[in-house]
Amino acid sequence: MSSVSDTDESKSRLERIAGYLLDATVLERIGIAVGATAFALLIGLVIVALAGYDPFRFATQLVVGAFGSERAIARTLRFSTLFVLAGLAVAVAFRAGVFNIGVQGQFVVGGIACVMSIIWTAPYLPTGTVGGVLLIGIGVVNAIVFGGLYGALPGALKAYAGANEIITTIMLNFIAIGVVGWLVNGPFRGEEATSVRTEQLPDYVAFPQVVFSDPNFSVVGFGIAVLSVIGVAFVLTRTRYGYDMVTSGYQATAARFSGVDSKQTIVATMTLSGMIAGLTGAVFAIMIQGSYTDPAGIGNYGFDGIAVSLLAANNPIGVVPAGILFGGLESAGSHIQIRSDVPVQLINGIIGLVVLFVAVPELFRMIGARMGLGGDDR
Amino acid sequence: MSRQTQSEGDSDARPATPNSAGTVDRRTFLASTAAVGAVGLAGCADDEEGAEYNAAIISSPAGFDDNAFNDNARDGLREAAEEYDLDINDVEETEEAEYESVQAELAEQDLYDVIVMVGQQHYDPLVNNSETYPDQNWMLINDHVEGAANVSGWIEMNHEMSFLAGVAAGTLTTESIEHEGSSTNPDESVVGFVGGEDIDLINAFETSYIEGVEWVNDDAEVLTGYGGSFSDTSAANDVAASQIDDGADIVWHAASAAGGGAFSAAQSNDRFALGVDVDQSITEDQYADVILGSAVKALNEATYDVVTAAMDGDWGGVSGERNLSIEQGGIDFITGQEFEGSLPAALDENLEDAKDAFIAGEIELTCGPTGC
Repeated sequence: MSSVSDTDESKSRLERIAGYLLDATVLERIGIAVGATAFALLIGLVIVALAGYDPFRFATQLVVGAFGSERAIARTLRFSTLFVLAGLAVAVAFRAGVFNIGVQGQFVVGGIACVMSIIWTAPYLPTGTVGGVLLIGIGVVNAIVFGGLYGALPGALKAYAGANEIITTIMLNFIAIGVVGWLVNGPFRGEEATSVRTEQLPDYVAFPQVVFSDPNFSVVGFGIAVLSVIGVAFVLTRTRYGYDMVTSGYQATAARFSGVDSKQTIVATMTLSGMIAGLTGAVFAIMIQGSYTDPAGIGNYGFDGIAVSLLAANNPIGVVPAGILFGGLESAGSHIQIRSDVPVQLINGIIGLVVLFVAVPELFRMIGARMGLGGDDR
Repeated sequence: MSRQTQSEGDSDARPATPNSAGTVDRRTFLASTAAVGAVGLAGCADDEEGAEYNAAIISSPAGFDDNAFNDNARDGLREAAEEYDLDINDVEETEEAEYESVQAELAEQDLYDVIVMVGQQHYDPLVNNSETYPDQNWMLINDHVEGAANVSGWIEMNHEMSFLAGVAAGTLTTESIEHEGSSTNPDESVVGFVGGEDIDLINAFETSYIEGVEWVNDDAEVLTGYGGSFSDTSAANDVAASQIDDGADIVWHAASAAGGGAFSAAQSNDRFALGVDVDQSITEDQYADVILGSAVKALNEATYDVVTAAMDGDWGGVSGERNLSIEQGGIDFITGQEFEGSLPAALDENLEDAKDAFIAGEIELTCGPTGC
C-alpha cells in the first residue's frame, strides 16, 4: 500500500486512482463491491419513488423476492446456479488473458448436444433411475465435449491464425444461435411439439428433488456448480497447467520467456472455458427446460456471466457470491414483476444499475492494469 | 363486429355485478383503496388486494406493446376492467424457460379468477400446471389442453381469416374504386400477397387467401411473395411494389410489423392494400387512405368473454377447446376507416355469402389454422 504515496506530486490523478484500485486488498475490494451495490440500490429506490411507486415496498419485495420463502430461495438458487457456472466459464478465460465473449454460443451448443444425445440414446438404455443416471452422464459428457470443441475453435484461430478472439467468439455466438435455431425448427423438432422445440427428455432424466420441491430447481444442479468452482480453483492454483494459464494472464511475455507454450495455453484455456459453458448448457437443459427450444429466446446467461466474472474479479471462488447476488437480483425482479405493478422495464433498469455499479470498479481495474497505469512499480 | 358494438350490446344484457351496481367506478374505487392502503401501510402486505376480481396475463416471448397479438389479448381484459371491479396483473415474461415457474407462482397466490397465457409456448408448462393447480382457471391462446376442464384453450382460425381477405381482394379488384389519387384497375383481376417469413403458418395464410380469391373470382390471378422477415418493412415494400408493377391493384400482407412496407408500396404507387389481424387503418393510420379494409381476429373478444365468464361463475361456458372462428363471430373482415359506406355493395354480399358458407360447412380449406 505504501508504494502509492500521495506525496509524488507529478503523479496524475488518474494514475493515483488506478493505483488505488490495483492495490486494493481482497477485503477492500469486497468492501467496494458491497458499497457499490448499496449505493446503486439507493439510487434505484429514488428512481422508484420518482416514478410514483412506494420505495419501501420495493425494497422489502427485493429481499422477500430473493430470500423470503422456500420458493424464492429455490428460484434464487436456480438463477445462481447458471450465473455461477457461466461466470466461471468467463473467469477462466479472463484469468488467462483471453477474452471469451462466446460463452453464450458454447452454452447453446452444449445444451443442444446434451438434449439430442439423451434423446437418441434413451431407447437403448433401461428406463428408471439407472437409465436416468446413465443418460444424464451421457448428456453432460456430450455437452462438455461439444462446448469445449466450440470454445477450442476460436482459441485455435487466435493461437495459430492471429484472429482476434473477441470478434470470432461474438460471430460464433450468432452462428450457434442461428444453426441451433434452424435445427430445433427442422430436423431436431419433436413430432408432438406444438411450439418450436425438440422432443421432451424422458421423465426419469431429471435431477432428484432434495431439500426443495421446485420443478425447475434441484440442489444437485447447484452442487454441480459449486463442485465445478472447486475443481477450477484447484486446477488454476495447484497444477502446472493452471499456473501456465494464470501466468500468461498476468504477463504473457514473461510467461513465454519462462517456457510456457503460449499457443497451446490459449487453446487449452478456451477449451476449458468452453467445457464449463457446455456444462452450463447441460444443467440448463436438464434442470430447467426438459427439452431444447429456439436459442434466440433463451436467457443471456453467457453474457451475464461476463458481469458475474467481472464482479468476482475473475476469481473462480469469487464467482460464487457474485453469482448468488445476480441470482438474487434476477429472482427478486421476477417476484416484483409478478407481485406488484412496477413495470418490468423499471425493475430491469434498476437491476442493470446495480450490475453497472458493481462491475465498473473491477472493469477499471482491468483496464488500468492493462494500460500500465498506477505507478512505476508494476 | 368491432369490440365496441359488442360490448355496448352486451352490457345491456349482462346482469349488473355487485360493484358496478352503484355509481362507484373503478378509478374512484382504486383511489379509495389506495387511501386505505396508505393509512394501513405499517403491515407490509405483499399485494394490494383491493379489487373484487383479479386476472393475470402472461405475455408471449415477444412481450407486450407489440401493437398486435399480446396487446390485442390484453385489450379484452382492459375492456372487462372498465365494467367490472377487476385488477389486471400484466406479467411480461420473454423467456420461455421461465413459463413453468411464473405460471406456478401466479397460481400459488390463489388470487386470480383467471390466468391468461398468450402463445402456444405456454402449452408444455401448462400441461403440468393445470394438473398441479386444478382449482385455478387458465386461458391459453393458440392451443388447448386435452381433458383439462380448468383450461379454456383458444385456437385462432387464421385460414378462415385469410379466406375472407381473399374474398375481399377478389371482389374489389373487379370494381372501380378511386380515393385520394389511388385507384383500382377493374379491367384486370390481379391481386398480391406479401408474406413475412416463408414458414408453415404463413404458407397457410397464403393458400387460404388464394382459395378465397378464387372462390369469388375464377379469373383472378394472385401474385405471391415473401419478404423473409416479420420486421423488415423495406423487404415487404419491395415485394409489394414489384407485384403492383406486374398489375396487382390490391395487396394483402401477412407480415406482421413488416406489413407497413406493403402499405407504403400501395401508397406510393397509387394502389390499395388490405390489413391483417386488427383494423390497420387505425393502427397504421398514416396509410388509412390506401387500406380498404382488414381481415381481423378478435382476440380481445375472446379474452373478454373468458374473464367475464370466470367472474360471473360461468366457467363451464368457456372451458375446453374453443375456436376463434367465423362461426363464433371472432373472425371477420372490416372496412377501412376512410372507406366506410363507400365500398361497393358486392363486397358485403360476397363476405356474407362466404361467412354463411363457412357456418353451413360448405367451404373446405386445404390448410388448417397453423399449417397445411
